[in-house]
Amino acid sequence: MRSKPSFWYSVLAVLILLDVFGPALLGAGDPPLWLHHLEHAFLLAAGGGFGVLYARRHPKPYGDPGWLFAVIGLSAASLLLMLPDVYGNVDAFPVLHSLLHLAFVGIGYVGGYTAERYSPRSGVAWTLIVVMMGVITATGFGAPGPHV
Amino acid sequence: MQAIAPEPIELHGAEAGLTPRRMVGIGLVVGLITIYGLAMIGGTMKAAQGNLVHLAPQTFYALLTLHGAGMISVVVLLTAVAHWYFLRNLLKLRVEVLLFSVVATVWGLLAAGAAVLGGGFGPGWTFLYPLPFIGTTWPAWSTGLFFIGVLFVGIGFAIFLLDILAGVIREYGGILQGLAFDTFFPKLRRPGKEVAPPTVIAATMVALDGLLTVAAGTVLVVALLARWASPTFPIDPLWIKNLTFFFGHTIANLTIYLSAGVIYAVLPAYTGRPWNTNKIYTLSWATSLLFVPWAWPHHLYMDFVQAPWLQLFGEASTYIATIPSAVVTIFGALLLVYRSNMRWRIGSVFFMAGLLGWLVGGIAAMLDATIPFNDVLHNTLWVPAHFHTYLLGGVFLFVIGFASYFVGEKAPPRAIVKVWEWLFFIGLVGFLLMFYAGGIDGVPRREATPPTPGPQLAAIATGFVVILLLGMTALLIEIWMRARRHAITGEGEGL
Repeated sequence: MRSKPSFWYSVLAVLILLDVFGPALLGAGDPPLWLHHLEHAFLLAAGGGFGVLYARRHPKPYGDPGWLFAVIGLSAASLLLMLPDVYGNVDAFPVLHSLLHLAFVGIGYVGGYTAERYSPRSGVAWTLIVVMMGVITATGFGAPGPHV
Repeated sequence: MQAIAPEPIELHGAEAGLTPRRMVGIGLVVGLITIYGLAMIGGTMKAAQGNLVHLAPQTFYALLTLHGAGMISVVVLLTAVAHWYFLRNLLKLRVEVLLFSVVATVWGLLAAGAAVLGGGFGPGWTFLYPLPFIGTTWPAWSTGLFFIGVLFVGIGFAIFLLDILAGVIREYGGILQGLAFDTFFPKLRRPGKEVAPPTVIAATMVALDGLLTVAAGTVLVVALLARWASPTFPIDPLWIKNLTFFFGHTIANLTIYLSAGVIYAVLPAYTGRPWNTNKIYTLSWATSLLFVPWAWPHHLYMDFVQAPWLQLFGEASTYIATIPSAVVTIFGALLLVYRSNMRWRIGSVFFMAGLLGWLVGGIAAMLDATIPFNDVLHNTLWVPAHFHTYLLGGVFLFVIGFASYFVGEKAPPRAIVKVWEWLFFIGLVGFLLMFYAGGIDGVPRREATPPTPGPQLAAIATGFVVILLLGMTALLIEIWMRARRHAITGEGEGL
């Protein structure tokens, strides 16, 4: 019998798959920019969550500081992918759009894993920070705003 | 009788490798040299405002940009290094991480310095949009290089904070324990573990708020870099102004909380009394944790399009964030010192004077953050008056105090040191008073050629700057000579 956590992980996995492959299956959509940013923050968070879980199932001693440097690089990479210019170039092509979503999940996964490898629960902290960045971008990153 | 082996003194030239003590020493030297250079730039600008030397306006604004951005970055570096020194054993921190953090910050400072000195980038350290891009007198490369520099400083700070947070979680079991919430809920505490000391509480608070700040700062800088790379990249001026002050105000503010962590560790050494955690500390620091990130709107009172609720919330948050931790720290320090036969050394004198600077600068800041006062004081010299009081008259004094403690203070200082201290404090107070007088008279800030009585006040302030720099030079030489002497004798930190 499946345990309860496994059930919720499965639900999460299905949601991620739907979000990742949605554009390829359903065609190009045009969500508002803020929603698009939040959607990517969700993908990062989900990827981060799975990265943390994987790292916890394979516990190792206090990691090398190199993990920490990788984590910072990944945070910056996630933000570069959130540039609306990237969205503009990618969104018209559903398969590319799906690949972009997959990239967010991948960055989240690797980031969560590397941070958790550095030190226990750091993966959770990193995932929250990246989600925070996603939420901050949703407040106006790449939007001209009503006052211009 | 069992002999007690002395702690190894890593400053010995024969010792190889990067030890924590050597790393902190490097951070201190790099930071203090940078501060010295930036203080000279500040003095030159004051002399130019007082018509004592000539600076072209473009040069003045470029130097103003470097002075502001550089000082904030280097003060973050110095307070982080000092706090790390006491946290390294409590949290089992790694010296390589601090090295990376210091190197990233130095690279950032060098990039910003090259952008300003080589390119003349000069929109002010707050680089308010669209100033860095429209009607500029500097080349585009300097704009990009400056923002890359800011990004590096942010990365350096983020690495430092992530490592602190990881250390807190590893050693105490979680963030709540790092904030000492186990004083309220003892079940949270790990078996055999003591409650987190005040130094760790301060570190946890700074790590959490700092990471939030750096996250916002990264979004801000990436947006500006995107605008630099692609002029069609859209930016909402109000959004980015909010983000700029969220990042800028909070990061400057956090230096005082990093310093508080140092005070909690050092003052017990001078007084011979412990500084214990209790429920009041827990509540005070939790309050600061929650409200420090919300104080930034007090910079935007003149922005009529800003939501009124945000302005009021910013005003309230300024009060709520500042008062509890400042009161418990200053009151706690006074209780610690009272009738303790405190040993007065350069370190203890500067720590106590710094507390006064924190108090005065904090009150001046709260006045400015009060909307009816801000109607009069906004963008006047009152603003640099308050932040010079808590940065130069507060945080920087803690840094000098720490440097003196770090090199060792077993012997009382030479009699001549009193003269250097007096020179320093007379220069400091006189310099700050000219700022306040200008603010009360409504002299605008950030002006290469301020209206009357700005030039007269600036000329007097320049005299005080010279006195301040004389005292500062003599004190730093005194501390350096003591470091060299102790490296030979093998004497370590403290008393």
